[in-house]
Amino acid sequence: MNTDSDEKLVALYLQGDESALRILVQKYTSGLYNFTAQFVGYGQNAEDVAQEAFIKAWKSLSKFDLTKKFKPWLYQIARNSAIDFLRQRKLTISLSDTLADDETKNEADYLVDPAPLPLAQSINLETKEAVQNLIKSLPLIYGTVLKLYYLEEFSLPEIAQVLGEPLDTIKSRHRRALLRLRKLTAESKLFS
Amino acid sequence: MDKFEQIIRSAISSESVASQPPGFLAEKILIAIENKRRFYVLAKLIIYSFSTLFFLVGLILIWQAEKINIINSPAVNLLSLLFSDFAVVVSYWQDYALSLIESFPVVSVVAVAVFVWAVCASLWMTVRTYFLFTHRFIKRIQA
Repeated sequence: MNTDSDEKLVALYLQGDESALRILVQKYTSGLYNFTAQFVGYGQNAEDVAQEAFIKAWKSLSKFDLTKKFKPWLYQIARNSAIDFLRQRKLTISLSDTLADDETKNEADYLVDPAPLPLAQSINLETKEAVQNLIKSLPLIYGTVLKLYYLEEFSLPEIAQVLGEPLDTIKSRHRRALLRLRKLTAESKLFS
Repeated sequence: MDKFEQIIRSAISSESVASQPPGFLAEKILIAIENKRRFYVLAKLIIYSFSTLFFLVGLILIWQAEKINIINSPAVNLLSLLFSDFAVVVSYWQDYALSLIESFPVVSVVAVAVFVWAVCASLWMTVRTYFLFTHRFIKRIQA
């Protein structure tokens, strides 16, 4: 099932087809769980926030603009739910904390030798784990952008919509994240 | 997408596979939505039922208060002319209409009509909410 059919499923549900809602929930549970887990951590918290996001989306389905894409809309609700969850528990959102000093750095700080890395070798499990750890070491806001872009396959304008940030900011974060990862991989001599 | 980005995608994907939500989460979410839906339907049913009851009591009280005004009004006698002497009504229809309008107990009739409309509307909403919910519920069971 492609993304285009999500809006059709919403339309079907609004016409009374209950199975359409089931399909939508089953399709996005995993993605939404992983997305909310970045804000509130894996486990029960992420489950609760994902559930809350789906309930909020269900309540607002009648107001959903069928000419727009469903997935970014759903993820936007999930992000807001995660922020509400953190606020209710008076936890700080590490997004802004980790961002503050990081974004003040010059992009040139992350620039490394632009020569292509020797990546022809196959990606083995150790490499994947090492890259995962490097991504985890990035500020949360960079990790979120990378996951939305490479895992959820959102476009940059869609990520901007989901995170409620200007498009240029998201473009900049995506670029910075890649630059920083390149620097980290070079430092760790991961692909040498 | 260059190879570096391909590696990132691959690493993120395999991490995502490793951290899947519990298998029952989707079902749990659907049950939570269903419970929420039942709660809203129940709340709506209670509100509509109470409003039906409220307007019904209001209608009875208004009818008792305005019944004499309506029945004893000259307009009722004029209306009976329609059946007893229709030819006269047709001949003097302008005077008849004017007299009917002048003698019509507008306030009493409007008050009763408003409550009749309110009772019908709230009763319709109660029945509609009930059947809409049971219809969807039956469809879900069949599915």
